[in-house]
Amino acid sequence: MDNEYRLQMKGITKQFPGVLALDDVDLEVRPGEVLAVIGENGAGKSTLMKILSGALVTEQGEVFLDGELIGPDKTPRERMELGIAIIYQELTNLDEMTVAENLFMGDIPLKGRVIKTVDYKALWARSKELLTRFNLPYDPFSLMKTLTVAEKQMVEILRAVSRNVKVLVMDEPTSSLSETEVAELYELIHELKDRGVAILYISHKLDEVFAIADRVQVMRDGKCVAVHNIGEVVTEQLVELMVGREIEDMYPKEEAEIGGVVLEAEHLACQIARDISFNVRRGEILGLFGLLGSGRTEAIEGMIGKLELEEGTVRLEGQEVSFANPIKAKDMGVAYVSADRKKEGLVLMQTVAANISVTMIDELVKGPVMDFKREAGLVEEWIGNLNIKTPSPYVATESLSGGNQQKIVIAKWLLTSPKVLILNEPTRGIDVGAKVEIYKIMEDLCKRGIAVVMISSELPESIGICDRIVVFKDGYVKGEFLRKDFTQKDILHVAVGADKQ
Amino acid sequence: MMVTLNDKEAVELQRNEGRSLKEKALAAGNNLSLLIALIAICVVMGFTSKYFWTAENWMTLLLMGAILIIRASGTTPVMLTAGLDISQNSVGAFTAISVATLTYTHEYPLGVNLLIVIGMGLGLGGVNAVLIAILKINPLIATLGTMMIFRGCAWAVNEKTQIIKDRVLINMGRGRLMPLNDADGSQIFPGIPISAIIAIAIFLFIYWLMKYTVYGRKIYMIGGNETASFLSGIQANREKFIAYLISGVTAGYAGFLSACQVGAALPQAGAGNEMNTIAAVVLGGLSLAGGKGNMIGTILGCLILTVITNGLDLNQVASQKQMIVMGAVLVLAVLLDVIRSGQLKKQ
Repeated sequence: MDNEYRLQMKGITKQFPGVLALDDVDLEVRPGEVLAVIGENGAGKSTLMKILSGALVTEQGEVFLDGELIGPDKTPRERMELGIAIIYQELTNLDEMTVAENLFMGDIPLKGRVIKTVDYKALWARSKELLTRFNLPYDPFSLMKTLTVAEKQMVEILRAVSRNVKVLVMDEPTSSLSETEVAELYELIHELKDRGVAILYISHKLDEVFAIADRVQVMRDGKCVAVHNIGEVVTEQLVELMVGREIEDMYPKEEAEIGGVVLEAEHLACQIARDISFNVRRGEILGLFGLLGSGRTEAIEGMIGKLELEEGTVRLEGQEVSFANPIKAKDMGVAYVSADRKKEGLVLMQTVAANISVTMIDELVKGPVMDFKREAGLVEEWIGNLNIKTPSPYVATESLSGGNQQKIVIAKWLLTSPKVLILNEPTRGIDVGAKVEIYKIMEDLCKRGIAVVMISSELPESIGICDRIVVFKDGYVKGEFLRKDFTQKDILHVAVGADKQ
Repeated sequence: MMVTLNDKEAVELQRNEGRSLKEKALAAGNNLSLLIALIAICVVMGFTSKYFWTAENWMTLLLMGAILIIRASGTTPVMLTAGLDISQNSVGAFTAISVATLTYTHEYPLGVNLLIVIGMGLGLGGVNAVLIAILKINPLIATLGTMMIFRGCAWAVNEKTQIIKDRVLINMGRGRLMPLNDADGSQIFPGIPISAIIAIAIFLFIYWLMKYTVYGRKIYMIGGNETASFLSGIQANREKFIAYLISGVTAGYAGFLSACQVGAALPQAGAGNEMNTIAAVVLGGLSLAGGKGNMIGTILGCLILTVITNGLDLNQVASQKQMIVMGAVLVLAVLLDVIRSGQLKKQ
């Protein structure tokens, strides 16, 4: 058998209803090698990793570990025992337990014959040994919750190591780490490489890719579009490979008349967002572009009072305002559609009608009871306006598709006749057809003189639909582009910080 | 391209329609199957006792069920918000013994008695409301605490059984409306219990509140997703506060009405069967996670539990042993619901 590769994935194809998520993807990684897998959101990186981990099953394609076929019927647990470990962005530590218990979760040393009890001595010794081997100074018996996020992540990686990991997948491992912590992570990765572990490093930060990877595999629209040795490529090439897609007809961009400034933010500071200034005009679509964790959401949520605003001033139509909470912002004409549709946007088990009318519910009364007729009229009107496809206004919202759910959230906020509509990742997780419709809705709103702000981490859509783009990186505004100056390369350069080269 | 898109949407729409119809059937099916279960239980009880189907027995049954219906109706809004109030019986006992003691010496008119009952119910419910809606204490823990506190308060007010001698109050508890007698004095129809009429009125009011008012809509929205509701402008804390007030005031009144039925208030009244109310509501199809359930389900749940109690009473099963049946019915009902919703298969 050909054992040059530690892990081989061949011809992986995965079909979701209506979407081909992975199309005949190959992936190979050698022992002691770091392979960076890059691509935009929705390129298929996480689907591929889920198939590797066993969280998703596909009938098409084969996975080999050290030349041995791993059947699709192998459970995530069995794969873990074979040596495939994944560190997800959301950590899976148990905060109330000790570092040692987290390290050996599921494999705690026991003693005793009849009644087995935890062998704390062995647990402590084995943890201490593992921690010193990797130069980590934590006390094995300190509680997990006393560690920083970075330290927790280290523990999670060591947990995989303690199980004789052969292939380690790291999904955006640096998203919540500081620079020194990133350096520590790199050190750990080098240790693991020396031990012959094959590492899949998923990221869309190109400077990291150049810092740590040996080879890079670029994915786009469910396909593997290129594999390069890191010495043979430059940033521009990778950027081009990541975004290179035809985008013209997806965006129904029309010229709307752009008026005066409606909303203005100056020197906002909120959590990681620092010194953020921007403004938006009537009839304009302003894009706030940046990678996840670049501070876009914090800036906006600080501004509308969902998070605590630490510094800065906000002006609405020239008047200085301070929104105590999103409801106050709504009452003053600033509506915010959060990125988390399921948790913060909709009451999924309730009807479409109830979800649309909720923002006006106190006005929909006739004496002591609800004015169901008026509600129905209003709801029908907005279902028509936004072309929401639902068999009736009285079905549970959860039975509709993501695109239609998103339209319901937008409808609910349009009911309040906002001056400014802020959309956070409005097209996340919805199919292409529905995306186009959302863009059309945004265009229509502009024509009616509403100022639209769109937070997005998808560059093609930002370029396709926005009149102006403000680029965020690491909590700061790093650049601003007018529509006539839009190029994917320039914007992505600012956003991924490839200017370090 | 547009054509294929529309085709896809049409298919999706069809699928969704199918699903929603199934969901509708499930939603209606819950109340329908409860009704069928109720009828089936009645039929079985009818076989075990000749007395079961008499008008006299049914009127007794309604008298017995009145208290449960009031409590369950009052606590349904709380439970729809994913909350819980297990202090109801203690609120009732504390209220009843306080008012009974006061009115024994002062002989208040009915209006004053009711005002004190409502005031105490609101006050005690308000304590729960503050703890849960404002101070954000877990509802189970908060009302477990107040359940013990209010029970202790009831004992502090009066350690002995407090007789109620006021005829008006006794009549509210035990009185019957429109009894019919033969010319020779033998009974044709025993009359509808006044306390059952009151219970139905309270039920209908809360049914109306939940189904037709903005308040009801808000309760359902909060129960379905509190964060999203709050971000949409619903003052979740205020609406939950009111829900605990409703639960408190119905609990206070139910406790007092129960004392009027018995003819005496006891500090230990209702102790030990705090969970009956919750059992009835859950049996009625309410989800403890909130947002799902309705008042029709609640009253059917109450009737099922009451009919079982009554049938077992008629067969001279001791009330302590009846708990076996009650518990089994509750677990079975919820199990059936789990199976029907397909949750077992998902795992």
